[in-house]
Amino acid sequence: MYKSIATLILILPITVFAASAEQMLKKADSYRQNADEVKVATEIKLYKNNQLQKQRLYDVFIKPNRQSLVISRSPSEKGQKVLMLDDRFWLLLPKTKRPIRITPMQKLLGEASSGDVATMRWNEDYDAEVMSDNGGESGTIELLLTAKRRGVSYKKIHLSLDSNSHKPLRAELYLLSGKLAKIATFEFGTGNTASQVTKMTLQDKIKKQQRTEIRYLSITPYQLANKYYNPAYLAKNPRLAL
Amino acid sequence: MKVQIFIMALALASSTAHGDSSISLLWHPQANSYNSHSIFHTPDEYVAQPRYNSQLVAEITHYSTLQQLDISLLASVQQQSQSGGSPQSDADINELTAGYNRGEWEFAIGRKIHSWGVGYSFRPLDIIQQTNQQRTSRQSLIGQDGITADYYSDNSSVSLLLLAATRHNRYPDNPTIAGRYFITQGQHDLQLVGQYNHYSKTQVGAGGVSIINDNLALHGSMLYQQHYTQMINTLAEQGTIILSRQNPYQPQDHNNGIQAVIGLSYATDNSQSFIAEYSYDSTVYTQQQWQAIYTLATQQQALLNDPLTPKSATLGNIAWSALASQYATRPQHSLMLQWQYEGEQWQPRINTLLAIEDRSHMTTLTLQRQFDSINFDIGIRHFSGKTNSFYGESILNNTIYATFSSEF
Repeated sequence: MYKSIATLILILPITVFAASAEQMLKKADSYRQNADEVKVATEIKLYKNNQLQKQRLYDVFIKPNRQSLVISRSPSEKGQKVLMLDDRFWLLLPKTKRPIRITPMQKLLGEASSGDVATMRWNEDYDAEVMSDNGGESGTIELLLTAKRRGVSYKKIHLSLDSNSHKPLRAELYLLSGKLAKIATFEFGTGNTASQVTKMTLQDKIKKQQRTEIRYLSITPYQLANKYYNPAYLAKNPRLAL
Repeated sequence: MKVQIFIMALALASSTAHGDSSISLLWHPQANSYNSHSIFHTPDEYVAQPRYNSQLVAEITHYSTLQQLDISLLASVQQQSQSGGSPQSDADINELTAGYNRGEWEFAIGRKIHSWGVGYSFRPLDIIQQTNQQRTSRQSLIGQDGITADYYSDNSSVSLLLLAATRHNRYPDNPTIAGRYFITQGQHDLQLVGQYNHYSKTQVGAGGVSIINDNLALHGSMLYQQHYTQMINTLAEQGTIILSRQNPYQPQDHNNGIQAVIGLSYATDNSQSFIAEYSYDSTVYTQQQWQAIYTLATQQQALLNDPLTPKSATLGNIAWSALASQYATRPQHSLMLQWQYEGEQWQPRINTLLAIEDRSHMTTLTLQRQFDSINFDIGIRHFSGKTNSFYGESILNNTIYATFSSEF
């Protein structure tokens, strides 16, 4: 009996602390995605040695339960789509007319991986725990995010939050192999968009001269019919009037 | 006339106020060298062997809604030119459908491209229309005329097709019914396909992809054909007479054909990917049939030194023998190996297609690069193998090609 009470006393603060970490992560996520079903117009700029190499436009449709559809709007990739349903991924090329099932690692290939573009909330994919809490007015909180499901782009994320607002400040993104892949930093808008991440910069730590800027041009509530999340439908209808 | 069709399609697309239109352009120049040691080698006047050829393709796509109908259009115009010949133009309506949605069902009438296959080097389940996976350019197929009904649930779909007996279709004299069931369940995508018409009788197949872990995926498919036709070189079959006054190929009916493919793809976290794929096709020539054709062509080549036999007759017969590679475009047993690297700027890829029984191969090295509005590929393809082997006797020896494509 005493042993059980003692165990409870030991576990309770940890549980409270862990729940608090989850809440902080949810709050941090809300600065990127503030509604369950959204359409995100995204611009990606890839820099190498600070020289702009590529610029791409995507429309990203996000539904709850980790459902995302990324549609490329740039001329060189027009009509190309990536569908993500939980931990399942398909690539749809407009001329092949068939869905290509890809592995989580194939999803990562390319300079700005589909996961970086389509994932706006980490709390659905990661368990959070507090690594350190520097508190105070100008302090930061460090969270360790550990993947709780397969198929996520990164196995671990070290996320730094503003201790007051829980705004995301910096994230270190680690691959399944444990290698540090990218460091993300976040910029916020001004005025009406002051509580919204408007740009995420990914500094590549493997291809070190490379930097990707993901700019969120607009984030609007949008309900996309279920059939658009069926790979067979997307393959059959490569031109979507969305 | 066909170019006028394309211009009309262009006008239709640009005049419709509501909808989404785009134009893609593709230029595919190619330089070729030929194998003068091939037993199928003849002078140019018997089998055209252009040193240079190029293909310029413009495709227009348009999607709009008219009343409650979804109108979808894909039209193309292309110009082919080659050294020693005048340019030739052609235009086609690749797709033109009117579609209607009712709940989870979609109905469409018109011409539509259907691609169901699973695989990289060969797709047995492309039963409605086959794409040559070894082609180096990427223009769209011409669809099949008919009526389709599709049902979509959250994780599955059913497609039913009634294809007309039109000259564009794969079976121009026979209406065809076909169906496909697709389901994605967990880490597996599965599909069942079937087709029936009076000519090819029943075709049924199954295929799928399984994601094994974060890096590895397995894929496979198999098709059973109740009936199929082979073009048989009657001279090679009988083995005594080696020259013919007319094309010696005749269709021969067979039953119970099997086509199958099985493979894996593996991607690493340092941007490399590998594909290995084995394919089997019982509907193409066996190794024995190929050897009979090689023996025939060798005998025909030897006859060129016979002063009593008209050279033109012999060369014409060698050209007919060379048609074998058009009637059977792959060996029965093949292995494809591919490596690709997603570089910062260039994506190099090496692809080898190996004829397992004679160890000959076709190897292609490609470099791809994507600019803001242009996709660029440059590649070299080499055919190699010993005497009397599938790729070793290819008339084509090397091809260097480039592809520039863009969409607006």
